Amino acid sequence: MEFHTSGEAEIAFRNIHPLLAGLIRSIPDALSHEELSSAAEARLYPAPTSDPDLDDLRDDWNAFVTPGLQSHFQSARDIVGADLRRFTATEDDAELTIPFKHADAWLNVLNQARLALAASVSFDEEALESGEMPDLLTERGVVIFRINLYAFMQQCLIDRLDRSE
Amino acid sequence: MATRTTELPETTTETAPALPWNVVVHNDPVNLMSYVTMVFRRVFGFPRERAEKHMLEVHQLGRSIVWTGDREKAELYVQQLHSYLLLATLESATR
Repeated sequence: MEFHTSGEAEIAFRNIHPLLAGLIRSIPDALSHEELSSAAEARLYPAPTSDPDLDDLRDDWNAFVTPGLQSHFQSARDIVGADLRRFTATEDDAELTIPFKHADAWLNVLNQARLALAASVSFDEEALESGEMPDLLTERGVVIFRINLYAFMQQCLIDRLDRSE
Repeated sequence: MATRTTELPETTTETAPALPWNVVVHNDPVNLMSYVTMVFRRVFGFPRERAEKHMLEVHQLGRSIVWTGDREKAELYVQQLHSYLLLATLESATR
């Protein structure tokens, strides 16, 4: 899989292997309500404090801030979902083109997906830094592979955003 | 009509200074270091070196106090950091 920038308006991932294309297409699945574990939900919407004396803050947060965050995350998912519907693929490879103005939404959704997946398999620092190819015959291995694939895509987007600053 | 003035005792009103609050960012194994640096630059306007210093504190020490000030603004910063999916909390700076 290669990362390309086409002028200022677009960024693209090209020569995407069909296996990777399938995993990219499945980004929204990691965030569907049916798939989202309570651990993932807790990670996406963390408490604003651990101070036991600040129950009022936690209550206000749940009432007023969390709905705003849910809406913000859903907006990003909608943008990414629309881009994924334009994902072109053949039997051998695929190409994903992303309007540059959607880069922030992609960063956000890739992060949502990585965090949700990590929470589902208790992904820790050790798994992240092992450097070993995960065992793709296990569910955990596939999840770790997806987390790393989405991290690669995030890093490409961050590098591109860095260059535009 | 005669007027009479009454002298009132002099009073002063003093407001206790608001106690400071810390915005703390906690480590998590998933967020990329480059992503955390980018978020610090965007949310706080830190120059790259300062953003990287805080990112490394988070990574190596498990947490970093990224801002201290009044509670209302601290809450706003925590909300912004959550919108980027960073693990951030608010805590009293006086404890």
